[in-house]
Amino acid sequence: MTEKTIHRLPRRTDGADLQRFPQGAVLSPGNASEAVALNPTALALWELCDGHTTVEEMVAAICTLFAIDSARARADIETALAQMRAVGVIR
Amino acid sequence: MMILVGHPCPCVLDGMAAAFKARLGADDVVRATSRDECIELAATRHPSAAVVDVDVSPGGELELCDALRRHDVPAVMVIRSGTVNHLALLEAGAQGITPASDGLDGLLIAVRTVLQGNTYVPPHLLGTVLHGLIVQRRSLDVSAGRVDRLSPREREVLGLLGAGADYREIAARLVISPHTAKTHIHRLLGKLEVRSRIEAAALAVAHGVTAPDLEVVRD
Repeated sequence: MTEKTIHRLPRRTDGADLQRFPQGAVLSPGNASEAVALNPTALALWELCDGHTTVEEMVAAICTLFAIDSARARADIETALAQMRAVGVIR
Repeated sequence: MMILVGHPCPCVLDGMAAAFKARLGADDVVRATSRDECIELAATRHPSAAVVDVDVSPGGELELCDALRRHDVPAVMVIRSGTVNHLALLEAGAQGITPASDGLDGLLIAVRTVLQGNTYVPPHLLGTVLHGLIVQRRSLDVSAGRVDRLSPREREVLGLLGAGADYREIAARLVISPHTAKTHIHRLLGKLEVRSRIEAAALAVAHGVTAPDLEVVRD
């Protein structure tokens, strides 16, 4: 599986501890990285990172639900996923 | 700003009305204790938004959402766990959903969001709703591939099924024998991997397969 394929099918990493709050969550990675705060949309994206759902599917679902521009949704989602990948809560 | 509230219990309506006036600045709150009353008030009073508990229309929540949408009244549906398909409510026209368990604060956030013209799904349900949308889209993509496998004639038959025609009407419309119409139906059910004409008709509607123009149809 190529690096590009992996990134198109993001998957949650094992061992992360999730604490939910009314307006989001705090996710503590299983490694030594610092905990990361997720807003509601980022938390939903993290939940969708099952290794089978593509970024394109995430973009389409967000656009359908919130009737927002596809390019903007894609940029926001790619940014959020990149941040989650950087702290190790998805791969 | 006027808000329509719907709940089967008048005491709850009084409480919601007071909260919307005090915390949302609503000038007027109209109250309904039944689905029909909700629809009538939406049509005659043109509220800025409707806040409706699903218990006001048990089993008829989707029709109520659709009716409110047709009257251009954005609706927040107050739901209860395990009783309602969240995605179905949103697709039927609800602009927001909020579980009763989220309390008044959750409800006020939902109403404010909807009054601003946005869709509201509570944070703890967002992942579930998005996942439901993705699963639904995958299913549509699969069935679209099956529709693409139909022959031109089968596609015409599917369009007529979607329009509610039976095999006799299909035969008459396409100028073919009833036996041939039945054969086309049998084959297209197999290609679409559905079990009944009703399921096939639903696929026709979902994929925009319409009845053919009679003038150009010839076997």
